[in-house]
Amino acid sequence: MTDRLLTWTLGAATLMVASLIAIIAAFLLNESLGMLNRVELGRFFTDSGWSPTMSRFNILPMIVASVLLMAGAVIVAAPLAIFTAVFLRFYAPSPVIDIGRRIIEVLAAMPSVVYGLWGLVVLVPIIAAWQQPGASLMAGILVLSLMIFPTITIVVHSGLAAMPRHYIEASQALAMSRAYMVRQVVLPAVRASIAAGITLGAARAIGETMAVMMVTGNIVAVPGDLFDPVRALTSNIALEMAYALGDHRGALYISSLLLLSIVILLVLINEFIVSNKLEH
Amino acid sequence: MDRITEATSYIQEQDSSSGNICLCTESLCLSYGTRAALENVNLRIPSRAVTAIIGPSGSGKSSFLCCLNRMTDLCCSTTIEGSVRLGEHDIHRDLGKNPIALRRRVGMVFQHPNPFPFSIWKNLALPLKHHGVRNKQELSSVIEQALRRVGLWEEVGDRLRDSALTLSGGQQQRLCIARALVLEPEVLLMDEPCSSLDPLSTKCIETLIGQLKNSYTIVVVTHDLAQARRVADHVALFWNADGVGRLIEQGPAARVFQHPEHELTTSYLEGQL
Ligand SMILES: Nc1ncnc2c1ncn2[C@@H]1O[C@H](COP(=O)(O)OP(=O)(O)O)[C@@H](O)[C@H]1O
Ligand SMILES: [Mg+2]
Repeated sequence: MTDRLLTWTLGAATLMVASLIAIIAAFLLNESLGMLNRVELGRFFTDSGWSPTMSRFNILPMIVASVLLMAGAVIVAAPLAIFTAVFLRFYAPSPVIDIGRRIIEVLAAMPSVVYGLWGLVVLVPIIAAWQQPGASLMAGILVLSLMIFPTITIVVHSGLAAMPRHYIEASQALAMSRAYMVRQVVLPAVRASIAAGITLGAARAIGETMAVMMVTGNIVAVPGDLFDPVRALTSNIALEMAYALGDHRGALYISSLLLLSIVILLVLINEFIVSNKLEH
Repeated sequence: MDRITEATSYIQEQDSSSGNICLCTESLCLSYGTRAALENVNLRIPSRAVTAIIGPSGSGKSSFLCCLNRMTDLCCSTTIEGSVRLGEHDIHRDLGKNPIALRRRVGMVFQHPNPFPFSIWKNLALPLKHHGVRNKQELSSVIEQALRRVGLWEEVGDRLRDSALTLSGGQQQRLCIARALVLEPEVLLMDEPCSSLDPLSTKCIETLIGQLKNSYTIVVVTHDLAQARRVADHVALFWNADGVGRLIEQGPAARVFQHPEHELTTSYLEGQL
């Protein structure tokens, strides 16, 4: 009886969440399709610029900015996060483990506007002293990597903690050094967790709005180097939605749909990596 | 309890033992935190023979085995007193802080098969590469040899790239034995290696133990008396007295099984305890 009840409750909850996602996706798709009837898809990549009030809809610079921000943040944060997780699991003395984990949990839960504020007040001036204007792709990448570092660390660490203890026993009994065990046994064994952590971090990076908006300068242009200001897709939506009308609004819906698609793509890539877990 | 019995059987064995002693413990005591798990164990393990460690569960058999290759180091709160001698070395003192050299000489097979979640090839190649075998040709030949020795080559020789986790339990355990042997240890410790296997796989592994004892010193923990009778040359009986594991009898298998000296051994062998 309780079992049936549980099955139904869980089923209903799952259905509700799934339909919520479907509703959001359908809404975005619907709004976007209306727009696509009026404006051809290619124009979002070939128009001469982004001035939607004058019917110029090129969102390519913002796609490039978002992808660069995400990739940069992952490249900076992932190695550090994996290193930290391994350190906390295999090398740190126990008082350090406890303190380290608390700090990382707090970092993971910190509101993004706080990261943005720190970036704006501390990081941007430092970068500006080095190379003007300061608010830049670089500032965005650094703030984002700081944000996704704890996320990736937590996921990888829980993968390490859940790894069967007998892998460690087997490695030790085979006279492996700790470093060799970590490289050759532990990290390959938790590949799925590493992939999941990176996916989650990347999704957070590409979806992050507030912190990115505060430190990247928000100029719509393909960046020439790391010190150029950029505008992310997310920032663009947040900055303009309040006053956007008609096709302008439609273009922002298309940006949202694009963000959703990128996140879905990330999840699919993760899925693919996990299902190919076994290598030669 | 029977300090005197322990002492006499120890002296007798010293006189009557044939062949060399490979490993021996002197007054070995082990505790986890403040709880003693083993007390005053004096066991002599002859080389190139099978020594079976029997006894009820909780009598410290696994703990004892872990003292022999310092797997006890993995739990940080263990303390060991007394000594374990391998050849002329005291493994806890002479071999210093680094147990790697020791574990190369003393391999271990666990109660549950524990292959890495990689291919069969990689399971065997990992320890080899770590200890300097990098040449692909050489790797192949050592791996083939190792698999032949445990009778796995005929069964899996054509699918070395498959996951080791796709093997049956018995095959996995033989793979683990092969993996322990690729490093050419002198001693092989086996903790109830058949307890999670079916009768056929068990028979297979017992036969293997019989072959391996010509080249290795084997210490096998078993709770299965029939198995001990089948494979052992020497037997040691551990007993849990007041929560602490002790060695109460040791000797050549035939002698211990036919003329046990300790009354607990007699009752245990007759299945009364
Ligand atoms: N890692 C450990 N930490 C604390 N106590 C342990 C540990 N391993 C074994 N023990 C204790 O040591 C005693 C002997 O256990 P064990 O060596 O596993 O016996 P056996 O293998 O003969 O069944 C048991 O009382 C057990 O609770
Ligand atoms: Mg045991």
